Amino acid sequence: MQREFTDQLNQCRGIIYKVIRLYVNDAEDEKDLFQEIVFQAWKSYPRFDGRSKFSTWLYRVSLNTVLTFKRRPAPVERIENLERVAGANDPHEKREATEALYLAIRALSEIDRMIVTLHLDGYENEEIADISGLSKNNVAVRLHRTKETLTKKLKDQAV
Amino acid sequence: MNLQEVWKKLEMEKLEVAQPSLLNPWATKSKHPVAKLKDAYKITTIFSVVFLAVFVVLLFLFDQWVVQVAIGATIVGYVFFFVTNFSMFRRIKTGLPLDGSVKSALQSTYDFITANIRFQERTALFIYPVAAAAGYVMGAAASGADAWEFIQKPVVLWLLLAFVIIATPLCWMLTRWMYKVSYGVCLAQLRALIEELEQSN
Repeated sequence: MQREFTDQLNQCRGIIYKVIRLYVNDAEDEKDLFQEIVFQAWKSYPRFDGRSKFSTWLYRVSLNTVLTFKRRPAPVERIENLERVAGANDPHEKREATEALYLAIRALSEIDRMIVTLHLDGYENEEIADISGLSKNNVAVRLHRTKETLTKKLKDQAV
Repeated sequence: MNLQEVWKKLEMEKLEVAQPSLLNPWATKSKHPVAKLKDAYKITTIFSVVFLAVFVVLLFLFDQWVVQVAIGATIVGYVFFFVTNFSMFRRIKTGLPLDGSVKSALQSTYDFITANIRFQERTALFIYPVAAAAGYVMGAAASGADAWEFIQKPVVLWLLLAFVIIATPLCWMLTRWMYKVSYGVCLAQLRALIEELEQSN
């Protein structure tokens, strides 16, 4: 079982990096949380019945672990960064411009962050509702509002 | 602009973490708040055994029956303390399931932590007065006084009562404060997220 778990985890470890990057600002927290997610996933693995994809299940464990873990509060300089990279011209700064999407997402509330990233990763509203515990309608409403905000921010930046 | 396209372009940066330990959850110690509570129960259980052993020794060191009764009451209190802490420790053995919905994971973590804090506060209210009274009588006996005569003096009884009345809430407040320092931030984060999810539905 250990081998099977490790193989699946190696294939989907990008999910853990992604969730950590979206919610954590501190290097020490990043390390702790990576370990913690792997630990919690391993502990919960005997309950994984294969009805959903391993990646969906790992997304769930990662989000739950990050959100129930004590984290240091987020700094407030992200929006300033987003505005700074808006006028980017050289390639390096353009890479920063794509990173601006991340910054814009990170500026959202923690619940909206979860909903929009699950959506961007291709999850249906029903699956998002199941993962988050929100109603399907509420996911749709929040998602619509959040996407509008993000699109506006990215358009403003492209101008 | 299509958000999904921009999202796909993003390259995930690898976190700078020590590779060998990454996939070794078997050697990892959890730092989750619930796991920390479990550790706290383990430590409290060990300490209650140590204190019990000390009180049993003291029971034989003092030959005055009043002191022996006071120590006996403290031992009963600590046995209760040990049993409750050990049973709580065993209940957290497997931790909380974190593969359900986010809302249920947040709620169960929050409920679990607050229930445990309440339990510790109540236990503190029970154990401190008993321990304080025993310590008071033992102090008198250790100074060479006759404990039975000592506790019959009205002024001594009033002082004991005043001591218990002052020390018990102080110890209770100290317990509350320590839990606030340890879990206050975590509970506030959990509460805020639960409220956000509840407002939405």
